[in-house]
Amino acid sequence: MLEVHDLHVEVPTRRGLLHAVRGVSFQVAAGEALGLVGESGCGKSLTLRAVLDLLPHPARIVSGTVLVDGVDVTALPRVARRRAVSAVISMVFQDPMTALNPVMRIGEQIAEVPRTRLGRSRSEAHARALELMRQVGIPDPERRFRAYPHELSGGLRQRVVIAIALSCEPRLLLCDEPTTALDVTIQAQVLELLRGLRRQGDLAMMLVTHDLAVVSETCDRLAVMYAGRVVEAGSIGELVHDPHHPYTFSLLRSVPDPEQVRTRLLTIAGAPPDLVEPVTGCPFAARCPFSRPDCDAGEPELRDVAPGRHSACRHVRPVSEWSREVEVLA
Amino acid sequence: MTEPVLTGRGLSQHFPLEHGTWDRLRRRPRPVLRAVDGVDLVVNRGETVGLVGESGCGKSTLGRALVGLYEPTAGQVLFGTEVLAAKRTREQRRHVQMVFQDPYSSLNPRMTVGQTLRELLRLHRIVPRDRVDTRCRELVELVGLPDHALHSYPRQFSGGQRQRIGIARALALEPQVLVADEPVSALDVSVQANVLNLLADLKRDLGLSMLFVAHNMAVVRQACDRVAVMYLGRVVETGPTEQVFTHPQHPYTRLLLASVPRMRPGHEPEATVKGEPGSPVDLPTGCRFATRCPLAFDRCLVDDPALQPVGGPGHEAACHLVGAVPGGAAALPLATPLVGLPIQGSRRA
Repeated sequence: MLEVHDLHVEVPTRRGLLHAVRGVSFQVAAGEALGLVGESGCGKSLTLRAVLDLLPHPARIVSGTVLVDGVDVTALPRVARRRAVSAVISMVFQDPMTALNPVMRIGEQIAEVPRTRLGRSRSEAHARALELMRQVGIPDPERRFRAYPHELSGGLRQRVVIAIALSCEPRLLLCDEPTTALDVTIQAQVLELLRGLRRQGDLAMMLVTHDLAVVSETCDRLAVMYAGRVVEAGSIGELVHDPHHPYTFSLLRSVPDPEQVRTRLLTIAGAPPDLVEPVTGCPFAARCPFSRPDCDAGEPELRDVAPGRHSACRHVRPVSEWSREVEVLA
Repeated sequence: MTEPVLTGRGLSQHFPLEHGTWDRLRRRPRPVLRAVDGVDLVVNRGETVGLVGESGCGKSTLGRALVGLYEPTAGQVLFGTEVLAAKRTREQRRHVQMVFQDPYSSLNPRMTVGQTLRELLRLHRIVPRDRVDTRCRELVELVGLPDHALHSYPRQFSGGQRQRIGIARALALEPQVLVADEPVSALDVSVQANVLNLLADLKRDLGLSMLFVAHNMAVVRQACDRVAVMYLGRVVETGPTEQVFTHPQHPYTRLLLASVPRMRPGHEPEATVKGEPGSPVDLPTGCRFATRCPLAFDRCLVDDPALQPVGGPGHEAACHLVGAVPGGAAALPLATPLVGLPIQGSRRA
């Protein structure tokens, strides 16, 4: 349904051109949920925004194609592009307070799309808004219809944002850190809502987050991004239990686990490379606990390592071998 | 091991709110936000105590009150056995230091790291004047930063490095207790692991005691020996970390733990908390969690439960179900409403 090929995004900065996204490709099939995970600055949010043509100024797409239902929307003029994309895809933003209009009642904000885009009458749009509010679990929708965003709590606001995203009847929902600003109990409620929405309809989802656990509870497939590239992709279960790329492995071992205590958390030394400079060699080599001399010889491409599994590491080894090596290092 | 270094006894921290002219003319009482409402908390020597809860539960306020950044509305703060007055002496302030969530806004942007540290060392006369520079170098080395960091400004560092500077700043005064308010929540996971390991090392090497305020349950489990769970200004459950995480007693603790996403594909929480926390301005009578509790019964709405011992040593929970049914609240399933239990007038039955 959504295909992205070799996407490059650049951000002009005072220090020079920043190659924030360097050749990202992925697909989302109908009804599928893909998680995009990485640390801050890895380009995951920019990738998502590039799909919707919502890049913040001065970032721009340099090359690459975005196919929605097989149509290359990057070739279309801007207005036609937005129309084609928004008929299929809508987005849930991270911060519900800035995503909502503070001087408009939430009911009107939800009814806006059915009225203006889908050509419903005022009363039909009103009924549709109430239905959406009920669907996303806003209690007492008749009364809340007339509330302003500041009168609602963070969790309810995020539900309103989701209702607005659903109002144009999308088949793909892009979520940019949808629960990062929320408390853990409210996060659990919102994740439950997202899972429920997927189960009800044939809704596909793309979830961008830094939290691997959130992805593993909601998605089918996972793509791990590092320094503007996808370094590993595959089904969630396989990636979590048997990561092929050392970065994925390090990421998994550095998060504290609510279910057990580790004597020592694995740390990733150093910082990601500065993407203003051209990348030679593997971008993770300098921080990789398993790097070899040949890691500096050209940047490794993402390649198939198993059916449905891709990794951008030259050295494919089983995870058990790494674990042993890490214990020796520690 | 059980020598208390920092104790809060019956601590309350209330903030009076703004009041409209109309309300004042009608002689309405001024509304009060009860951020912390009668909390007892002990940090023993060499121990890390975790303080967890959702935003607005009063955990940061409690941390700040213990450091002395607020004057408590009621209750006392004790350092060892000495009761601290609202206005602490310089010596008393030195012993309890704070690490803030956002190290950038808590460091002076116009002073180099060296200047910040030197000022502290001189003011508090920690070391003789001629040893100040050596001490600065030791401090940055202690938190794992290079020597030249002393000549740089806070903005020149990354988030994780800034947090290390924040820790060095707190450690400069050789405190006995460190109160860390969400020290890792603003950091990326790989950097977060670095800072958590550093705090563990410091605790081991310097014998520090720590109060670790956080909302991330996994981080608390990793970093703390004991944990106190707060809800709307009260501690609802406290005990050894392992005990609380493996055998949570209070329904709120159970739901909070169930809500934490797991690294297990396909995993879904057993139950989630319904609704949202009440307001600390307009507190309910009875148990503060009753309105959201799946196990609440009639008594919960009128009677405010106190902490009482459950199960293992040092494990306490504030729930009426403790002792009321065999096994307490922990024995009842959260996902199904109470039906056919020997409790009268259950709201959900």
